[in-house]
Amino acid sequence: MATPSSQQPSLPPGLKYYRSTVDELLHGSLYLDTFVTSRRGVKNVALPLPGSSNPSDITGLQIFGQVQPLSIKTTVLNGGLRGAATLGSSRSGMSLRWVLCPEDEFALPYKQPLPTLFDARASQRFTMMDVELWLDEGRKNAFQGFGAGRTYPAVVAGEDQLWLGACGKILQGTGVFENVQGSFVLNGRITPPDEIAAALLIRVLATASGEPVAGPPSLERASAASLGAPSPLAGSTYLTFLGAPDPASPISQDKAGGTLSGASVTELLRPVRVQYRLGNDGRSLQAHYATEDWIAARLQTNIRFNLNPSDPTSGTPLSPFPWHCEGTTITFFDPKGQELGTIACNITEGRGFNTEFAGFPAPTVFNLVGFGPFAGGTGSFAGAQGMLSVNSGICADPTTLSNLYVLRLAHAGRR
Amino acid sequence: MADDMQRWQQALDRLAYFNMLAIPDPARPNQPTYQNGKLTEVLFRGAAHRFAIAPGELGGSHGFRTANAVGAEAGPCEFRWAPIPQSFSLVAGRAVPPTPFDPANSQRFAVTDAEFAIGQGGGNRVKGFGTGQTYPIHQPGKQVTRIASNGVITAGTGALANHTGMFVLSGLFTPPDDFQLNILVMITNPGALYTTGEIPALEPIPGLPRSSTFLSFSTFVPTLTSTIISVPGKTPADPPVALTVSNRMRLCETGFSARGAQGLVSRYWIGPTVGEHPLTLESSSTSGSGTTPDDPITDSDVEQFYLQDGNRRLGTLQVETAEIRGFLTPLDGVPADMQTQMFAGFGPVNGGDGAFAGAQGFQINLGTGTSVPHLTSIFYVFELADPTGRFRS
Repeated sequence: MATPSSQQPSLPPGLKYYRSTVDELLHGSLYLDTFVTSRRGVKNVALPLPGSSNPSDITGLQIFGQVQPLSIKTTVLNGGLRGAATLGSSRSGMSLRWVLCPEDEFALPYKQPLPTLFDARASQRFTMMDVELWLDEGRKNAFQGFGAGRTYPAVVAGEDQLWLGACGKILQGTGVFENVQGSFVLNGRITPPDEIAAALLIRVLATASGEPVAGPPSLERASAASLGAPSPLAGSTYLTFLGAPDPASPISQDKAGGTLSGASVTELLRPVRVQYRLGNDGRSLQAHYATEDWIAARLQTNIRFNLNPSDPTSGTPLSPFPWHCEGTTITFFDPKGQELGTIACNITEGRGFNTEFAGFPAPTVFNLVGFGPFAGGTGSFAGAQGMLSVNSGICADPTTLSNLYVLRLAHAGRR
Repeated sequence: MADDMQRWQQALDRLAYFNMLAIPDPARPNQPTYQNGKLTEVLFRGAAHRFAIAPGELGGSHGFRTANAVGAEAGPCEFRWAPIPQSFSLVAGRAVPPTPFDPANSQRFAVTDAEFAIGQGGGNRVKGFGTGQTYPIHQPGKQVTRIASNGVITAGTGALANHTGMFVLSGLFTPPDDFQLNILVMITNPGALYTTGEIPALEPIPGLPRSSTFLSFSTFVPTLTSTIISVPGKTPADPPVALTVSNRMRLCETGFSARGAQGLVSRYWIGPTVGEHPLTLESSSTSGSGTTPDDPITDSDVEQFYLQDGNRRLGTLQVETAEIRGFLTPLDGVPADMQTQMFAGFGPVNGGDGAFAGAQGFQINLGTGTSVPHLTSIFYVFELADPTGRFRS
């Protein structure tokens, strides 16, 4: 990962940075918005239920996925938001073991969950084991990771669907993923055994030694990837937004007993388009994201953390701290500021990781990943079904954030 | 030294294995014990059948296949199964504290009063005890759990009198009556029990419900240079704390019968090398000395088995050996100062790639080895969930 020769934090530990400095670091994250589908010509492998002679009784899947760059352009048409998704051609792929697990499972990368029968009619927890994602066929730019998530059965326009929400951590990598601090969040659908269609948003916040990865926004960025023909992404419309603090409503932290236990947050969301491609040299990553110059939504929420300051492992890759949101409402606007409608949607399952930036007192910067289903809507979002996922960078002191949201609106056919 | 290595390896490979599949005997059902309405103990009683696992067939579009057969030849088996607290140390003769069975969570359990008759007639028996772990299978309306245990043989009768060894068992149990367990017994220094000749053919019994395929491999340490002792013990006389070893996998087959003129005999055929099995073995700080049946050396690790057909990688099996127990024991033909041991382990199969992509199941292993120089002979049995017959010939 190239390190720019720009400003780098150099204050002695304990001293505070200006918020603008932290914002630059968080905005300097590297995003890869990707779309995972079943790999052509390779069938997923069912993980059978021990003791059952019924091939339909499965405990998970060995998934072989194809990974394509996903880029969303958000516009307004006829009083509603429209997301135009473009999928790039790709030599990228992914494999993982999708393993159902008991509700109280303490998931770990090398710990096989107790066999748990898959039930498409129930919401179930799962782990993502042996995750490997590679950008090139030679797998010189690849990462291994681990994650956990939940299934959500849904009926959309009379059609039974099974949604997936999951988040995970990059544990190790090579090439452009070598020595990075990063995470990923998954938001999509699965139809076992062979069909998967999900957005996978990868965010790299810094190198392992805490250096920025993409540099400040003033640097000239690489050109965007040339993308292929649009794909209908049947059954889903994706919208992507970059959230920043609302200057009119400062973040209010809850510090019960001196420990950060939550925050009341109002964010302004701008449509964002993420693009990337692997450079022609096969080693460099050309990544770019750009926000539209209008505020498409205001998100109000109460974040709840479960930080344990006495536990030195809390927030580490193998022991992330849980978090969730309460009372979340997203109010959408058109470019003229006219309200379009609202969605109620909490992040119901989240995991937080400490993120080290060089020179920063730790832990003050957190990478939060999470997901949750919609719980109702109004206006042009009346009756909306779908799921929200987020890959967030937040700083506790100075208080700021930079969050990339992925909304998946579920529907039948194109919309 | 090379000649010595070969001779010692042959001595380590000279083991008598008795592989069996135990199923309920309708005439002798299990005897459960309940306290306050909760299951605390089950006296398992069943029939242990001769169980054959053919050497694997490599290559083709399937990558790996094998055949299993359960023989009519059987003897009675029984043992007392009781959940125990996680920290309980099982010592021969010590009472097991009544502990309610928890069908939803993994639990330790004790195996006591184990008695396995090997072959027909019931005259050749081993007795022993050990501990194990439950692995519940979560499915609505059913209470199925895998149980797996290893243990030490403390006595024998008939052709098995005055022999030492270990056993390991693994399989599915639906309390209180239904079970299907793979029981593998190893006898060290087998003497007349070991044969290189033919043994009476197995007569398969039809109609046994099967949802798994079993495959077996034997591993060994090919050269002295394949072992790295990374953390020495406190004194030169101590066993090494950590070993990094590059083992090789071999095709193999075991068989036994008590029907022939020579009485109970076991045959252990070892075939060509078909892969590699790198392994880092670490002894825990709470591990015992391995000098008595009550004080085993305990270890655990995560392992990969790389199966090859010539230079072509066929697939990888990833397993977790959750519990290994070892005992120092003399082995004929191997100097005692090489710290000769026998050991047994078990643990889940955690996926794989290639021919073993998505493999799920369980593995058990039994073997012998030495500490310095480090040599091993280990027999692995993998039980892979296989409702579609993917791994079956």
